Amino acid sequence: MNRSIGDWMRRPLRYVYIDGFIEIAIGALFLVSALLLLLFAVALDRPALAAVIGATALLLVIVLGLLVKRLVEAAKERLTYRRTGFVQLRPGATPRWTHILLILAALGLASASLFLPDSFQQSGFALGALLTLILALFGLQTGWLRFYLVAAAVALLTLAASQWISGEAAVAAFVLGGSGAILGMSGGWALSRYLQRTTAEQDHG
Amino acid sequence: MDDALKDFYEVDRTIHEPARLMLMALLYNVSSADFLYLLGETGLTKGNLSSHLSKLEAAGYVAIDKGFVDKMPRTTCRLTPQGRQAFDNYRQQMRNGLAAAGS
Repeated sequence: MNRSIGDWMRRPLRYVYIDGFIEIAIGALFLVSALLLLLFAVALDRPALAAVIGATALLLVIVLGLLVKRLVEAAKERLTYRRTGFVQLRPGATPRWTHILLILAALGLASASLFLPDSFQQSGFALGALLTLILALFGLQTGWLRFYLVAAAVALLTLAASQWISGEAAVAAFVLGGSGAILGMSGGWALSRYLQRTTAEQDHG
Repeated sequence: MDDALKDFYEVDRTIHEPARLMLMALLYNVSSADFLYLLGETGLTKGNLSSHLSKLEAAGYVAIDKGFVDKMPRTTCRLTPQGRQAFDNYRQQMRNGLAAAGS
């Protein structure tokens, strides 16, 4: 009862991430994308094969991207909504400042990447930095430590990969795959914690 | 009476009650939420929650739909446009009153 009105209004935004399904799904999508990016990088010296892999990969990622939302919704319907209830966020419920911050951060990154030392693999670094910022914004939005920790892990992974792995595509694939694995682990932890704390309930309204 | 203090005095008492204020705040950012979610978040008893929701429904602030999903009962609640407006007004009145009290 001692929470502020603003805190009560933010609670449904947090609830979306409570079961970890979104992180697991996005993590899996990142892992598949990283694998396809690696295949593409390996086939680069054979342009015809690379073009086929590139087009197939793009199509596959788009289809999987569209499927992710449905899969997450189906998982929530079977598990989360039966345990702790159903919530549908209002379109535009996410605070506007998060979108503005994200756009400013992306612009800042694009400018900053021009001044990176030559030893850095720029596209992989930019990708990792953008993911870090998005995850940190989730942390800011929800106030949950786990998003800040994931953001920090992705940042470290990005710095290491940009410095020590050669080849733009390889770095991007490593950053994407690594971020996917970190997200998957974080989502898995959230899911196991959620399952331990909750049981299936009946609606008695 | 000072205008800002008058804001305090004329605050919407249907919303001002703590449990109903929680419910209004929870429902403000969602299209809809079900009974189970509101029960878990507020920590109210089933009877209490039903009673407060009924009062908000009677005031025209909340719409309640009872239905089934996969043969499971689901009671969903959402703020009506009138309820959304009333909550905005309530917050504004409280802000004005608190600002005046602080000055």
